[in-house]
Amino acid sequence: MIDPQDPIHARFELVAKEAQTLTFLPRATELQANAVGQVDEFLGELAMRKAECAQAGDEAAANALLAMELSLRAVREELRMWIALKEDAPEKAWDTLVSAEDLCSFAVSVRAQIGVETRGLENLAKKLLAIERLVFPPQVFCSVGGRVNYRECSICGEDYETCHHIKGRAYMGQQCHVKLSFGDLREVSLVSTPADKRCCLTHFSDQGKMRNRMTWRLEDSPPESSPTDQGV
Amino acid sequence: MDTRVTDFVNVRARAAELRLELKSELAILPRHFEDANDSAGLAHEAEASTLRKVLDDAGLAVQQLEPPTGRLAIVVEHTAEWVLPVLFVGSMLLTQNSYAIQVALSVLGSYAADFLKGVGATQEVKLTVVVERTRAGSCRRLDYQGPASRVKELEGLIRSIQDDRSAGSDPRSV
Repeated sequence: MIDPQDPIHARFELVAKEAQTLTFLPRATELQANAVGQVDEFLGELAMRKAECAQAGDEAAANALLAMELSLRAVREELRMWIALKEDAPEKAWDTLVSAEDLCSFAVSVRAQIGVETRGLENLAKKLLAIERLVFPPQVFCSVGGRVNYRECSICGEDYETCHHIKGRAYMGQQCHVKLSFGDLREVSLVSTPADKRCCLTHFSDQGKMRNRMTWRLEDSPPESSPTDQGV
Repeated sequence: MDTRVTDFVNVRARAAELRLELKSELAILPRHFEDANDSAGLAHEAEASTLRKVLDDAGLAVQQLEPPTGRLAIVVEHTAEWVLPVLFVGSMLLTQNSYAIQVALSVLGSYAADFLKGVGATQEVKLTVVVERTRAGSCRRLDYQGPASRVKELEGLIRSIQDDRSAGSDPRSV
């Protein structure tokens, strides 16, 4: 367990506060880029400390450090989103926004598990959702559906149906996820609430060209490797 | 919160018909349990295993209904809607272990609430509980849609369903 007096707490608060001061569109791009670098640097420290705790078998400390890591990564992605928007790279901005939303959700889950206050992150989640709805144009989302025969647990690498790990929970500083093996991919549907908001329509044909749904520019053809490479 | 109570098939008889082993008083039913022709038409919801593990973790023995050999497929639909699988509550559980359903609802509500906190939007959960009223197998289905924080309040309704053995189809809101 991390001592409440451990300087890492104060350092985390400071880095997070400074970064969040810059998570607004009008803030100077160079300051936002600098903040991303500072967050990255501190994430490196957190990773080393987390590895030490995991090595020592201190699961409570490792999970607390994971919660810090996920929270900071969410803030870093929000900074990257604003930078990308100012660089006229809206698809990249969209991807980083969705990453920020996902990381925020993961961070809340881990903080709730270890009994740490989540209100700040809940507010961040609401802010990110507001950005999604007010800053970006409406998206058309896709979703795949099917039957899965096997799900692999990210913690132990075993069958998720029989292992004891629970998706979303933290174990020795790692959050449990499942990797799907589709036995029968049945459909790709257009949905309003997808699990992965990066799965969205990026272009449609218009006047013999392709209309970019994000920028609304007419393009000769969609890029071969779009920034939203998980889009369709 | 909205709840709706309707009739449901006799779970023990239907499980036997589908060659599924029902051994526990608290079980997770697969999708299409009521209308599948055979077990090949059944599949568990994506969250079924997680739900079972979360309840296990709280000390509740929960069975995920499966055939004696092999196991059912899992349905994955990549939407963010939070749909919990159908939970079967046997008649003996309600009479012999009065705390079990209270604990189960509390654990489910907390798990869903923690998940939804990080999503930003005010989202609701959908939960279906099938209540076995008598050992002979008469069952009723309770559908709930509402805040995760109020899932635990369903305990009273589940008990009233078991006690009210003559009630007809009764949509209600509490």
